[in-house]
Amino acid sequence: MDSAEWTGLDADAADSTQRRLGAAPVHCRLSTVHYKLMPRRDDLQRILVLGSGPIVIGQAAEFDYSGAQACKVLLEEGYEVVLVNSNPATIMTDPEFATATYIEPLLPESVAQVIEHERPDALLPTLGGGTALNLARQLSEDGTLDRFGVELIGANYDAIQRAEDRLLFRETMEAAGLRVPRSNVVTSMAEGERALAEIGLPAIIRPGFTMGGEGGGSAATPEEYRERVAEGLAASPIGQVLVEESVGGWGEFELEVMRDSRDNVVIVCSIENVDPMGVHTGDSVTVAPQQTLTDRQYQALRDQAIEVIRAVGVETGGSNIQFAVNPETEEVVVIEMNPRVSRSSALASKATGFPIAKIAARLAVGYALEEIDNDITKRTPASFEPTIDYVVVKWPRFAFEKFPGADGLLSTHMQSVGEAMAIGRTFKQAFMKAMRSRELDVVPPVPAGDADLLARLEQPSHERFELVFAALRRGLGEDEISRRTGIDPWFMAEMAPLARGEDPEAGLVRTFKAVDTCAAEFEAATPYFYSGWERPGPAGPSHEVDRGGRPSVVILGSGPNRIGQGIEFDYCCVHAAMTGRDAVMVNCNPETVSTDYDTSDRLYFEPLTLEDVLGVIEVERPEGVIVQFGGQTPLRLARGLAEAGVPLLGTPPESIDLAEDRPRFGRLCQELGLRTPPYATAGSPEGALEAADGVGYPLLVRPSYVLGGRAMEICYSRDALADYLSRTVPSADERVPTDIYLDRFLENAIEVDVDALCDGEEIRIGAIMQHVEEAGVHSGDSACVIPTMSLGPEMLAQVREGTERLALRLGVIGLINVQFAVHGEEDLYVLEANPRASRTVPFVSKAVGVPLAKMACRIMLGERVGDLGIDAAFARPPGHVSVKEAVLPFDRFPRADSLLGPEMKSTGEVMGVAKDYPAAFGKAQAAAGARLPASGGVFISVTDGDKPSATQLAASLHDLGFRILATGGTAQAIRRMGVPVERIKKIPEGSPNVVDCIDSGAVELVINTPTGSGARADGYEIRRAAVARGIPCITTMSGASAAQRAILAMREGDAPVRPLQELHVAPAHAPRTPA
Amino acid sequence: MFGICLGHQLLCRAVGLETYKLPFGHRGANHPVKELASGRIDITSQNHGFAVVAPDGGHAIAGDEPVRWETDFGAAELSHLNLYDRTVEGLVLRDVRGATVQHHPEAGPGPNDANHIFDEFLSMLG
Repeated sequence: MDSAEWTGLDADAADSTQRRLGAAPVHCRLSTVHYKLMPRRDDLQRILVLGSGPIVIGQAAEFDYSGAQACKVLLEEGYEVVLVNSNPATIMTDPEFATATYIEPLLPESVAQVIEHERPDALLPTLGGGTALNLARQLSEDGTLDRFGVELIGANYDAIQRAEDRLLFRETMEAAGLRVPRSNVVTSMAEGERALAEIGLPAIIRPGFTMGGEGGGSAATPEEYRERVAEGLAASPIGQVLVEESVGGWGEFELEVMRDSRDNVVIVCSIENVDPMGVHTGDSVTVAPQQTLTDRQYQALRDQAIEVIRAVGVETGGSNIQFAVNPETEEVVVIEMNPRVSRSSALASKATGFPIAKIAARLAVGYALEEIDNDITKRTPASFEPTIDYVVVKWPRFAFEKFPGADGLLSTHMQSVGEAMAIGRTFKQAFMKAMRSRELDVVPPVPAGDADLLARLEQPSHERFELVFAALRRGLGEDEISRRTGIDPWFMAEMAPLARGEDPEAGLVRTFKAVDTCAAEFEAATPYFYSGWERPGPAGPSHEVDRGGRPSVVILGSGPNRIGQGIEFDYCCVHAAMTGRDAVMVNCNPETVSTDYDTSDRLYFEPLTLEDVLGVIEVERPEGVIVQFGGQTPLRLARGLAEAGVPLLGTPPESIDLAEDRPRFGRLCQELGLRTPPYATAGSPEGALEAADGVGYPLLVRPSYVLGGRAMEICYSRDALADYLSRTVPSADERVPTDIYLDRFLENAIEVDVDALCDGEEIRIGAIMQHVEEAGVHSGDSACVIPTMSLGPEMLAQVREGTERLALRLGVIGLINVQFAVHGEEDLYVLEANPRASRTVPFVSKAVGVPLAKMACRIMLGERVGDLGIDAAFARPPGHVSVKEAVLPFDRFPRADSLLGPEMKSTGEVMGVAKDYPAAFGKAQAAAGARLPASGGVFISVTDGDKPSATQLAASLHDLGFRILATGGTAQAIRRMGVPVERIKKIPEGSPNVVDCIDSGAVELVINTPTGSGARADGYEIRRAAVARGIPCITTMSGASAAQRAILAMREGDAPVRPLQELHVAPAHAPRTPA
Repeated sequence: MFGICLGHQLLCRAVGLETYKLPFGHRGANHPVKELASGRIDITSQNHGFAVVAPDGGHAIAGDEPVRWETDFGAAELSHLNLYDRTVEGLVLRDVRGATVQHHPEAGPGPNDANHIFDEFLSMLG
């Protein structure tokens, strides 16, 4: 033994002790060296943090939660934080969360520009999901990090490679003696055939380096297998897929692991998937802590998880490690590991109260786990494992109703758009709470026959638990259902009484309990609660809430993310918590910043139903409740709350109802001298057809009270309307009393959106946005620009005037959003008014530098708009142009049409900021993942009405050096302009046609404008092919001309990057005139 | 000789240390115990209501260095502490073959982190 390795003893003493003992004493391990605690790294000053960009399926608000936490911690530690994220609807991009905030595309070139400009010492890539990690890998590979001397912290390049590269991961696991599923890495179809022979079917196909398992899936037949391999190869940025032994039906478990630079490791949480292997964990119902393993099995997983994080070599931070456990043989295989903060780690943080991202950030800058305090107990260290004395259930939220053509079946490819989490004293309580937290719009239908029902259970679908419950109710046998679904019998036994109507809350009282990380072992200053159901004590329920004596304001959140109600509303709720009152948050979405217990003074993790919210209010006795910030979810509760005598803050709910009620709103506009498109309301399909003649075609049709334009369509003829009604309106016997609204659709109108603040007497316009797409595309899916590009001062004055009249008439106290259409030269129509926070509030706040939601909340609490100190900012002449672009999930639903329309389909948004419109538009497109090409082939196919402008466009693209390709009529029109064009065949004209052309990679940009009903079906295949190849597909002429100008701007040179903090510094001589 | 839990308390008393009743007993399977010499932290199972008083009479170990002193059996050192409340969790006797831990490295249910203690004990026995 080398005496120098003696720990804690000097060499001489060690020698003498050794001589006397003749053997190593217990605890003196030979490999250890004397250590010193090494806190905060002082050699770093400036740290670059990467966000995760727009909300997409597989990568959602959880990375705003983790990124915002990390930025806060790094600033607290005295570092300068440079942040890059393209998503304006994030709290982390609020200017106070970083020293310099860049709203730029998360692409290597843009981030390299930021690095060159800011010269950070280190890059922390582990908090921005797969996007940030991939970006870090690229910046490392292209030499940018070396060139500017930027150190990767949190995870080094080799660890990222070992975790993310399937082959390396497998080698690493095997070297550590861990079992992984048999597998083969495949980079071509030929290799795919060899893998098929070796591994057999069923097999799982996993593309390398994609998020949320995009492009992956399982295959049971050779045909399916080949299709999946081809998709996977196309989806993987490195053209690599892993073909794997199927462990479908095995139990799926996840462990959240943290390791520090001193090699100490803790397991924060175990999560069990109720759905067995084969369903992506993001689409599975999950429960924490795990419920069905014995202690011996669990400890084996725990030991393996520790070995995995060590073998991969994540030096500091959190990792998520997934295992499959064979329920019969107890065999364990390691499935995968994410060497970063993930969706599951956000869930684990919310489930335990252990803030993984915050701690990961501290670990990355040198601290050890034992040097970091547990936030909640304040006096115990973070080097421990949370113990939880409750059960947590997470439920995914799907949006298949938005994507006709998608089959609704679940696989290893994630498709859910959001999630809800619930905490209860028992699995049953938590499960029922999570179920009602989902706020389903539609109850899924259940097959009438038992045989059909049992057959349906075998293929996991988004409605599987409704089917399981129906089967349990019909007494089809727990064992049988368990066998068909692969769901563990323990869960079946828990669900069976619930399915039969047992109420796990019966005879008990709602009792608020604290989430304290330690199962009440230590006193906890926790501000984080959930309701359990318990027998009351002699003095009533023993709540663990100490609300103190200060007045509080309850903010109702927006529940699980869904299309039409996403992170934008959470952003507003978080701002509402920043006004200085005791803020009380109620929400059930584990992905969000609003459910970070640091955001509010008290957090209640509860479903957003009237009963649950009233339970909170009974304990809180708030000064008032805010329902206007969380989208439709809290608005639906407004009436019930008011009836229960709960004081609501801000705009009265009657005004909100008035604005939603089309006929009453139409009359109100008329009173105010504002025009609205001709409209009618009908109570039945027959009535709708009749009323439609009076309104005139084309018309916009929708059921009343919709969010995100659900089931909204444009009909060009009576036939189209009849078809819509037969598809959408339920038959008379199951009809819910829903009115059908018909509005004349204004073709080729420019749509304008306004967000404004109002205190009941005065208003301030936040911004007037002009949509890039024409009216008819849902405002959530349309790109828009601040300031407006083509409206004259008179039109703008009319828009301001109209907004003011509406806001005052509706008695708005807080925010109002008004949508207008400018039709022809000077006709202004009001399309709708929403006296509440809108989806565009975060974008406007970032673009103009005024936090609108926070200001609105101050107004609700009694301040006047004139006293908010925001007039100077509104008066500031805009020195930049901001473009918002929507991000669409069509790549997840390959069979759904990518055409934009009045029904919202986007999951997220990005922002581009530059000195002029074309450059900002180009940045926004790049950030949205549809980077405009600088050269190559452009395919143009437009309707007759668009042909004149399309030929102009073709001419300028030709001048820029693009090859122009077009079909029949469009080609002819372009050729008449004297522009060379390659004519290609339409699909019915045989091969090679336009789709073959796109598939072969000859096209870099598609411009396809379908208006009217005829061209729609033809364009579908073209758009589908473009989406599959990931090339930009523009469906409006206004979008196309913006793209052409952006390409021109791109050619002229890179737009410089500027931080948000510089954009909003008022010039010294800014005129201080009121807005 | 290797002492666990009550064995730890008995051996500590045998070398002259006192024991006292903890205000809150240590129960659970998630207590972090730090081996002072190496800095290694094991997550351990605990089930005790009394604890050992340090040689200076304190209930907690303030520093992160092993606490050494002379006993009737030669050199001794407090080798482990509980990171929750910094109470004594282990003893090593340097001049005779003796060591203890307060927690339960053998426990099930509970983590296997501290299993290495048995390997080290066996290697001490040669």
